[in-house]
Amino acid sequence: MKVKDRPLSTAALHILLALAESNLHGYGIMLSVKRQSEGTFKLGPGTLYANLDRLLAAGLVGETERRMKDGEKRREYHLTSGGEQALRAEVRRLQQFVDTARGLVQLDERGT
Amino acid sequence: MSMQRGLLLAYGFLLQLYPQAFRRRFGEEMLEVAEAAEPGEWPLIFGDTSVAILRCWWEGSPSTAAVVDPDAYLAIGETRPSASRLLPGLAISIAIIVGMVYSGYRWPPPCQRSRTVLTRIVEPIPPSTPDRRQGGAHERAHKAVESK
Repeated sequence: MKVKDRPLSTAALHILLALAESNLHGYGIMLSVKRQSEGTFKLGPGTLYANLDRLLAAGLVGETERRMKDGEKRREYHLTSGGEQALRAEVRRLQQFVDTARGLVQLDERGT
Repeated sequence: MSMQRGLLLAYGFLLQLYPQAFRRRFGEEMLEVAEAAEPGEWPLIFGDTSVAILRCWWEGSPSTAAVVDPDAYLAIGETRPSASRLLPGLAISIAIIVGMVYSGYRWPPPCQRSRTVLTRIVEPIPPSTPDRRQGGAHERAHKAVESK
């Protein structure tokens, strides 16, 4: 099984979702994940960069250096076409899983 | 020194524990992320990074696999080996040799049971020369054992 075909980890999925919105630097990804998950998933720098390292190696994420106004260089990460495909495949897989689960588990109006 | 600077310094030391290739690639950026963090996020930053360092050494990472340490495959003569690298090697070699010599000296271990058996061996008396003083007691005992 190729890296791209494997189910994504929760952290990798959140990172790809954050990058689907816009190109971001490391701290930007952390903030975006916090916002998207409404504070339920907190991504630390160790997990973030370990996952970015793997996603970069798998070609799901790309990086570019951007020069800021003060002359400092900042590395930004973006979603590649392979990353977009992997994200779509993962969302489809999760949707299928939720559909199956809904058939087996009855949820009330509040979803509990 | 403010609290934030102290924490950043400690975090910088923690980042030194990453494999060199990973640290070179992401270390500076991770420090920037920590610098931008709020005070309440420090426990998460330290805890998460500590676990990530262990996982990086245990599982490896694409960065560490792709970049080979330039000093890893130097032939003898290309560089002069430093004392700081030779001394630990010498200490480990001596420890291994002493351990092997000691285990060779102590192996096989003495067997307590065999020693007990050896002390009970009695020199047999040839059956053709019965002990006349004891009235052939040995011969009689030998026959009794044989009949059993």
